[in-house]
Amino acid sequence: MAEQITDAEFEVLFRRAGLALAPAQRAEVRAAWRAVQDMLARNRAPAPDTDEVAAASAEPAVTFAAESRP
Amino acid sequence: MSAIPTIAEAARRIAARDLSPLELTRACLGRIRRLDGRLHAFLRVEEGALAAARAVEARIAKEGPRGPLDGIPIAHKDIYETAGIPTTGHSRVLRHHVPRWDATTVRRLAEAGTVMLGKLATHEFAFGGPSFDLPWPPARNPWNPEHFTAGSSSGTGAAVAAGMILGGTGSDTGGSIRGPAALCGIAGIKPTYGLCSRAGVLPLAQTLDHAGPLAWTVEDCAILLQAMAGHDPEDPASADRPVPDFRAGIGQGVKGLRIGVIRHFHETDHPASPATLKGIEDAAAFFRAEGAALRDVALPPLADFNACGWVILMAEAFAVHETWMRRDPGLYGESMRGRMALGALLTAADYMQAQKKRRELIARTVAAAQDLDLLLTAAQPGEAPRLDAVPKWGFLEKPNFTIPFNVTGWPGLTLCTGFGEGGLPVAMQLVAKPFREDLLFRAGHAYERARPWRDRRPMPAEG
Repeated sequence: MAEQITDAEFEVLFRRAGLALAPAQRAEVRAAWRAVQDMLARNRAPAPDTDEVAAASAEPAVTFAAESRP
Repeated sequence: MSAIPTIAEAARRIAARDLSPLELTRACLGRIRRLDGRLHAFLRVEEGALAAARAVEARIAKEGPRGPLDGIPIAHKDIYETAGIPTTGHSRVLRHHVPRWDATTVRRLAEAGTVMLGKLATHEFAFGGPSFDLPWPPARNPWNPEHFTAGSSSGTGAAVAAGMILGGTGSDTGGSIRGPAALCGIAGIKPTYGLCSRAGVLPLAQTLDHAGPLAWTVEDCAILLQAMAGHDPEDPASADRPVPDFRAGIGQGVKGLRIGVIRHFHETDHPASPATLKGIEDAAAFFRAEGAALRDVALPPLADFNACGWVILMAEAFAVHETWMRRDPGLYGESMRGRMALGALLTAADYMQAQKKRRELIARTVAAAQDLDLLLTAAQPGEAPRLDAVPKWGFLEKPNFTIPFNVTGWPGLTLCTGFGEGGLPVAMQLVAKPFREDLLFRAGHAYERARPWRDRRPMPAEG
């Protein structure tokens, strides 16, 4: 279970997103966000047998080759 | 016409002048008329379908059939753009959207001679659903209309299972072909990323989106995919490589194939129902008896693939919908709006960390499957739940079995392995390495012919 953000931190995140949602909808999204935070933590877990530098330098899957068509 | 033929059977009979495409189309339209008031598989039925079938029949009489899809009634998920015909994404947002061009795959299927009967229900923009607050109701499962079809190619799953069409198109970003195929008791293939053009298919998340077919049998999926596949310069992800003849070796069986069972996916990461497990074990025993070599294989945990896949999906989907979500979020159904709001909260770093994880997961999958031809696991955890019991945030609660192969881009085939305690279908998922759809069809076809599941059709009440 990832460390969860506070309600105040969530409000900052939500304001930054700039979506006009009703309070009830926002509360539902707030509840669902807890599961997303767990996902974000999983994605940040380094690969097995990887040191910090290698983890930071890992290539994303969207790296492209220059000769490919846009 | 009472029995519903497969595409392969219908093609043989049309070629032998033993089946009229016009009568076949009439029979499908009759089933739509009788059943769709209850199943809601169609958003729109094409008024010109009979005239189109008549024209195809006249051409075939003069020139012979173009191929196995000539005169075959199909329909398209309503995210496939159709020139002059509304393409809504099952959403109020695009309720009046009438494309000027056909999607590449729509055009290719039309050129193959198919008769297009209409546009099919989907979850809103292939993500938000099942929803009851959209302009059209959600599709219902023909095996029991109180139950879910899975999504998002829900209309295609329902329409094929009920025999309203012989095959249809779907899209798969996290399992949207393979899920409905599993819960509706039919076959569906998500091809390799890049095999089938996505041009003209409304995007959900471009690096995970795949177009592909659903049909009653594995062989019919091969026939449909043959027409849909191939390089398309309009799709930047399209693979520029020749498309093999998917049916050339379909009868060769599984002798000599090496199959890895991803047991931890369906036994511990997300334990599947007893009927689903029994189906997988039965399939494994069948493949072994037919000469395949089986062993267990360990991939990274299912939850790791899901975390990676869903974060990428939500981020890319919000980028697609940002303008509309900011302008008027009230146009979306509650489910889609909530999911898009999650995507809006993600940061660029969140997205890139998921894309880094994706490369790692692909590398680990390649290494684990180095000496294997196919992988075997579940497609869904069990039978279809009741439609009113589907959790709104289900994709966040338990990891699904399908998104790992959207993350890797590997092809996956779902097919029926029997029926559970509730009388609804259960299924397995076979996965191959990139561009080895031929092996999926070989294994799936061999299993399907050896088991009686294709002899049983749902009998939904008229309504």
